[in-house]
Amino acid sequence: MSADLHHRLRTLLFLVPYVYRHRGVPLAELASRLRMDERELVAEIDFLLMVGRPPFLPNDMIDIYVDAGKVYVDLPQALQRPPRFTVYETLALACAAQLFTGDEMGEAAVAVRVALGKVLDSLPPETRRLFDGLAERYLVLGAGGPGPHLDLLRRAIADRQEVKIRYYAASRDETGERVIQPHGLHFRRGLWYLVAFCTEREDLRVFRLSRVLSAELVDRIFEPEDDLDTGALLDERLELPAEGERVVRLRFSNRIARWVTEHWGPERIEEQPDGSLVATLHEVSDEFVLAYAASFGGEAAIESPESLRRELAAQARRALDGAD
Amino acid sequence: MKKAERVLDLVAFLLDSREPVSFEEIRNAFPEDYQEGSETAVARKFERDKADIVELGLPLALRIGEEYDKEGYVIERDSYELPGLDLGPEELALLFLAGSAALQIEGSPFGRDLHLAMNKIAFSTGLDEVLMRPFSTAPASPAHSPRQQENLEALHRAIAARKTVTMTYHGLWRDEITQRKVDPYGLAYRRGDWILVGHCHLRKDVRQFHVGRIRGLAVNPLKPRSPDFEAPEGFVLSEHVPAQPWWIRVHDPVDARIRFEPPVAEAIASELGPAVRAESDGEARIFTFEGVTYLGGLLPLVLMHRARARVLAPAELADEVRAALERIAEGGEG
Repeated sequence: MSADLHHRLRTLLFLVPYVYRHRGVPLAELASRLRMDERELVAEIDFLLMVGRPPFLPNDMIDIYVDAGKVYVDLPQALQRPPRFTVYETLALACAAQLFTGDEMGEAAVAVRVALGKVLDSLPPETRRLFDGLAERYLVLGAGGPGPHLDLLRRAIADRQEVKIRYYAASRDETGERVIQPHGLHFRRGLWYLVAFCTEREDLRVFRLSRVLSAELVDRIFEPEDDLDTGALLDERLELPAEGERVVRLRFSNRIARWVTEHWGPERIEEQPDGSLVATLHEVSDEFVLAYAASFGGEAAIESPESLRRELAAQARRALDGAD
Repeated sequence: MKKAERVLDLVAFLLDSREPVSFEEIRNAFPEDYQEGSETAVARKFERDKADIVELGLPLALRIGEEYDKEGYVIERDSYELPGLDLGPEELALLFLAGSAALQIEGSPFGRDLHLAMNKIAFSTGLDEVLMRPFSTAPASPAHSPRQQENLEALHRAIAARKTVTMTYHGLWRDEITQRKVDPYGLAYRRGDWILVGHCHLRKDVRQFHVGRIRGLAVNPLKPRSPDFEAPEGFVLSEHVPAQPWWIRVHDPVDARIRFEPPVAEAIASELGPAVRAESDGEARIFTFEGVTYLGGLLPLVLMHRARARVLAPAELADEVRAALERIAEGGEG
């Protein structure tokens, strides 16, 4: 059986009992819950009308239908509950749980382990045996783990409670305190991020969780922001601007050219006649450029602006003086 | 009748049957499916359908009759149905937060399974309205390319079924393209990248491969239900995928000591967590990196902080840093 058919059948075995429990669920909500678009879902509903048990008399068929944008089902006895977890579903949950198992997570790590243990206990013996054979084969590494403040921030988001944080802002190389209204926690490219309204700057900001140095609840409740899609906002902020007035050009030696192309993608890169590469960045902070260029240990140079090029050299000389 | 419909009909039929159902009864109930064609063709088709039902994780069993009991196939409702899960609100909230984070892993071969698993947890606790709302609309994060996505899903299946894969691999540092035959042992996700660990028949050793650098990939199509290999006893994936670049195995382990100035010192302590030991030195902090097996892996961390980082030990690393800083300083002249 193909992976797609496998997934489709498992989705249908969930869909029927779900609608049975939630008769009249809006079509749009059901589609989003199953990550389908509405047209796909209507096609699956039409398909399910042909499913039933022998002798396939009208009363033996799954009677599922859409009425005024809502979905209903009447059933023969089967399919009132979804099937148990499969080994792949359990592996997926176990991989997700790995994100929270770091020592610094404390009680939260224990709670996730207990929850996963309850899922494992619900498995039939054969599925459990398969799971045990595969569990060690998948590893999900978060960089340094989400840190000790994740649980507090999660509760604060749920309770809409303000939080005072100490935060290291890498783009300015400074640590400061601020009161924030936390809205969302997300995981991108192995790192955790917090999207919050900063009451000092009066703006929505993105914080990297590992740079939150301390967090404590403030005794103040904030109003929820309606229609705020924190995930989309984060993706937008993490994307380096494709244009802007401030332009920085970085040159990478041909020794690391392949790595740079793989990392940055070909769009931002111009290959030079000598095999080196030039990347053009827009609206990035000085501190970011200095740190990034320095990390390559001479294999990357700032081409422009000239002032930043001189600044990097001066900083390298200062570091050399300090080291002697 | 199409396969999808037939499999669901069979499941519904067996779930609703009060007693085991013999193959004869199944044939009579599904005349269009199991009566046309030769005996062997029909038997093979039924065998495949049974295997598919088992592959879906459903407890199809053949009950052998004793004395007056009837012999035949069953799917017992108790073993089929998802039981209620007794999860506390904290456990649920954290599991869902972990799940929602893992749904955002780029190109995850688990994405669809994870989403369905979270749906099932929500169903089993009766909290589906509350729990699923923030997660159902979030789109899965795609891999960097459709090819990478396909490769990840194929590798995931090959690992589970223990099937050997053949692939065209573009080694980045040697810049060479080679044909590899690999027994896939495991997959790891690290900072946006997926890494395959497996036994490479060409190098005759356990190797890591960046999935993004795999060009073409094919899973051995022969005997899909019988495994091609066994991973060595006691294989532990994390030993082959270091969480930090300084733990790549290049040389014998050494300890490195690096001093970081404020304010970045505190942020580094927070970022590296318990992986390093930190002691205060006035406002600064001295970090001990234990068991470093690749000093070069520490270079970017030291260099990016320029005058705010200073290597105390070993001298070898301090020399490398000095040489790199000289190159950087030269780059600014002229």
